[in-house]
Amino acid sequence: MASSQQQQQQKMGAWGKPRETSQAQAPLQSVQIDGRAVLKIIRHCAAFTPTPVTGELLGLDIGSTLEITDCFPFPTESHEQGSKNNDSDSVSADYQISMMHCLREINVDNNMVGMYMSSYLGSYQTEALIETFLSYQESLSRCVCIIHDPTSVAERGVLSLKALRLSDAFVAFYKNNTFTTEQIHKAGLQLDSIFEEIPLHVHNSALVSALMSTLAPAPELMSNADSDRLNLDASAQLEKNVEFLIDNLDDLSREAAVINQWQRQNMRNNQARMAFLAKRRAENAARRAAGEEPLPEDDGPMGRGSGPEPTRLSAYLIANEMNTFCNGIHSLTSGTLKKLSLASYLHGPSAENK
Amino acid sequence: MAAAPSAPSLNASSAAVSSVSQAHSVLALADELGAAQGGGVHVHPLVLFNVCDSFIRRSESSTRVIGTLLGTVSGGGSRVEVTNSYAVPHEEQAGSVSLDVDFHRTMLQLHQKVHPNEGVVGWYSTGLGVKVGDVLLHDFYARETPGAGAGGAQASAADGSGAAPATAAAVPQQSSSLPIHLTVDTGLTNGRMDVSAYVSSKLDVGESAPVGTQFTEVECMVTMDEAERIGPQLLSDAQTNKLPGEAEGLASSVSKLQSVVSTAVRYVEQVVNGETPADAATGRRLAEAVRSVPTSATLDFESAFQDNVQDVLMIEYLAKLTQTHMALADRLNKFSLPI
Repeated sequence: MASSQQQQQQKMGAWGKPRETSQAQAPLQSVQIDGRAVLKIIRHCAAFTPTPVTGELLGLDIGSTLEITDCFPFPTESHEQGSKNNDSDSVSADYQISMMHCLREINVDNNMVGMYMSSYLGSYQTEALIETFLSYQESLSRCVCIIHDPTSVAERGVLSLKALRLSDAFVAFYKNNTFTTEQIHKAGLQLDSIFEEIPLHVHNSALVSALMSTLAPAPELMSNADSDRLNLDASAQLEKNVEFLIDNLDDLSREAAVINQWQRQNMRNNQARMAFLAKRRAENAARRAAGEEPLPEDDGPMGRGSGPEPTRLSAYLIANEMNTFCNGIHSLTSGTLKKLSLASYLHGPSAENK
Repeated sequence: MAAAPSAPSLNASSAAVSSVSQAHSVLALADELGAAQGGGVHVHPLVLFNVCDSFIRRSESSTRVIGTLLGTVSGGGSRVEVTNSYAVPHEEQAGSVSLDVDFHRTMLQLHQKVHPNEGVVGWYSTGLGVKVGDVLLHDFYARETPGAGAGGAQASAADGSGAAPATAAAVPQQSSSLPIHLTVDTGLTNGRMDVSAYVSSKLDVGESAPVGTQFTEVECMVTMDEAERIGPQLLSDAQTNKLPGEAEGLASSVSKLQSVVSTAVRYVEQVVNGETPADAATGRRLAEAVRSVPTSATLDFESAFQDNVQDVLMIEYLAKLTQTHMALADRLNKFSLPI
């Protein structure tokens, strides 16, 4: 599942023509999305749960606001295998180009402004997403990624929609540095400085408002979403969250083991080198005393050290993801506690009556 | 509507429109057959949103927008779900319509790459009611729609199967209700946005060839469940600055529940006081609802409740602990060490 997501994301970045947007730009302050695009994203994500899906966002970049007016989905891997098999990259690029071409004909804003993807309980912080982001940013000066969690809507009646981008500081760091402990320390990179959440506004045209006022159900009636929201039992979702958290913890300790081993190796190498140098120096002193030519005092056979430090990026991302899960747990538990206290009031008097 | 005096006006009360150049007549009849179709047409809000958007984005020269409806058919063809749509560029001059067929096919292919189980189920146009040129368009879509049944496209079934091989598998059921013609009144003629669906059938007079096509209005429902989950407010307000969070949703749901319960209580009181005649069915439903609340001994409930609260609090505590650990590790820059 993870690998297909990665492929998909890489594929997304495969096509993108550079645009001439050379003028100095105000920092991106908000993202405005059409209700229609929200519906489309939600529908696409919900139709394929739990398979992760991705799509492209179209819209306009105006001043400090990025307007998302339309979007289209990318086909998922399994459906493509049925058609041409040889080069899925070119197939998807063809798909993208012809879709954009078609949308232009019916006067849709056909500027790429980013992408959307579904995530399960917030597991979106991957290296693949960062790579995709960077490849998008090569052709677009500003792009966002809309993250939608379809299970949250389906199971709890809560809309989970986020607009994310990579922070400028992180992009600069990513391009110029490697993720070693020292470099991260020097740049002062913190956990929460990788992704930036941008305030999301929803916009609807007057015609859509008219449509909804014609269609809107009586506001006092209970809908399915309401009964989902009032569901007292959140244990299944909590379990999933905790399960993911534990998985991540395992990953993190694996990462820590890797870095520990590297550090131990490094230390051992250093000690060996020191011993070698000390020995060489003593030898040279003896040689000089004997009037002989001293041997070169370089690192000798130990000079290479123990290789470069393993990248710390994945540990950062895992920790970030754990943070997301923890936040998810908080929102779940706070909601559940509220509902439970409500339920206890409801049950209290009736229980006393017996 | 350019209504011309027409020969095959079968029903005096119906508005009959005939288009001489096409040798077809369109009869928009008030429905009687609608009920016989069963199931009806279920339109998802996304389709209507798409229609509205494409109407706003129509080209300067055109007065209306037409497009393809995608969806699925179930229940032996009686229930049609319209789940998606796209606009198709077209040109309209007095009496003749030309549709960009290539565009329609390309777009269909692209859509089916993502949603392979959605097929063409009909077409839409903006405006109120059926218009003169619509017969041609409807015939075209009858050919494009796989499984279009007896009423719509008998004559064109042969070339229809050849024209759309890709979609043939998508909607296997034979259905007499396909294709559907959906009209959305974006002009708000009646002060509201009317959405109606029509199916067609050939009009036969004795032995001769069909003399016209009759459009019959069928039941058309908008399934709002999807939109309700997102929040109708979010989809109707011109601008929403903050997405509704969990707490707001819960508050609104609880107040809704409260109002529903108080309505039920008021009704029961009225019946008890003899103000409203009692209705057995409603009474049974109410009794069922009351019975569905589990009655448990106080102790059982108390312990189950406390267990649940403790579980939740425990998880909350663990999550907080994890976060604190990570925050500490982050600030101390010790991610290289195990936390």
